Amino acid sequence: MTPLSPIQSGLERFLSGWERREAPPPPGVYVATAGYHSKLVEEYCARYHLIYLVAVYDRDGTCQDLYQCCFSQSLSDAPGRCFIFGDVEWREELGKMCRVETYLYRFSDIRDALKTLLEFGMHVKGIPCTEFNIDVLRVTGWCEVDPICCDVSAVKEKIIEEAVAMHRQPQAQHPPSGDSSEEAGDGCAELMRQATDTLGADVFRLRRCLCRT
Amino acid sequence: MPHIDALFEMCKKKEVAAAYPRLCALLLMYKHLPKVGVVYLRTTAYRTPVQKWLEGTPGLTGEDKRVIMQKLMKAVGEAVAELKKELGGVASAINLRRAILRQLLEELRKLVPHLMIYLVFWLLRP
Repeated sequence: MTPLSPIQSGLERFLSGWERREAPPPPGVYVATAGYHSKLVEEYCARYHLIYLVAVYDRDGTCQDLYQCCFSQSLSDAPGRCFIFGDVEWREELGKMCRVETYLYRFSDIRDALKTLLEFGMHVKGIPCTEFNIDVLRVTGWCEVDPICCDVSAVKEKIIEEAVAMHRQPQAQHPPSGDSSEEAGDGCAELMRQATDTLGADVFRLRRCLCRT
Repeated sequence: MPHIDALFEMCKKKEVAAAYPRLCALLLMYKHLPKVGVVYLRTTAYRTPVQKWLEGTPGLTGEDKRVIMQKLMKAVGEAVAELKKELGGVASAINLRRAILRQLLEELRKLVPHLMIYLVFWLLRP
């Protein structure tokens, strides 16, 4: 991930109730793909703070200090407890050039924790869903809500089928002779025009339904 | 974005490029983005990539190439105008990549309207 322009109002609204710390993020699992371009980070940090959201999964509510909880778990538990969404994956050298803010929130359900980070990334930061970790998209159920984010094969097939059909259609719709079919073609054109005007959208794909002759 | 890359190959079919110029134009713009640095948003910058792309597309006659080129460049022009509105004339490669991806996903959703309706309901949930 690389730095983003902050959208301040959305950010404040979203983060009300989160615990704020002026500290680097604790160890955890990043929910979006991470990239790092030092020059971009440098430019960004000259103007803005780096912001990290940490969703702490604490099923039993035993965690006293959310920040410390991400450090204090045994190795087998640690990566699963804290999920992070950040402007850029944290590295030590960032501490020298950037001012950092970390926001933490307790979740008793992993799915809720991931969903919150996903919503923040997509709706507040405007990150396209395809930049999120595919496992996060699956666990949160986002693949069912917006399948294009996870798999485009079905859409791809549909596009190819329709494109081929559209390519063939003009020849099929304008036979060289025959009065009745010519009339049907004219009527169809009018029907298509009216449907387009009414719906305000391209209804070319409905041609076959609208224009049965 | 491996699955988005897979769509790019699909645009090599002349029927697809002719029927979905906006989708193919956005895919082409996405493929030609640098990884870092800044990008000047200009329609003309995509003319050569579009030409090269058409040259590599099998089964196109001269007339096909002319028609598809026209459609693609029109779609590129529209996409660039929208991106300029959002990002200004100069944008960082990463922000441009994200903006193009957002437009691409929008375009794909339009092609599967029932998914769009589902998405809208989900977003409007209480």
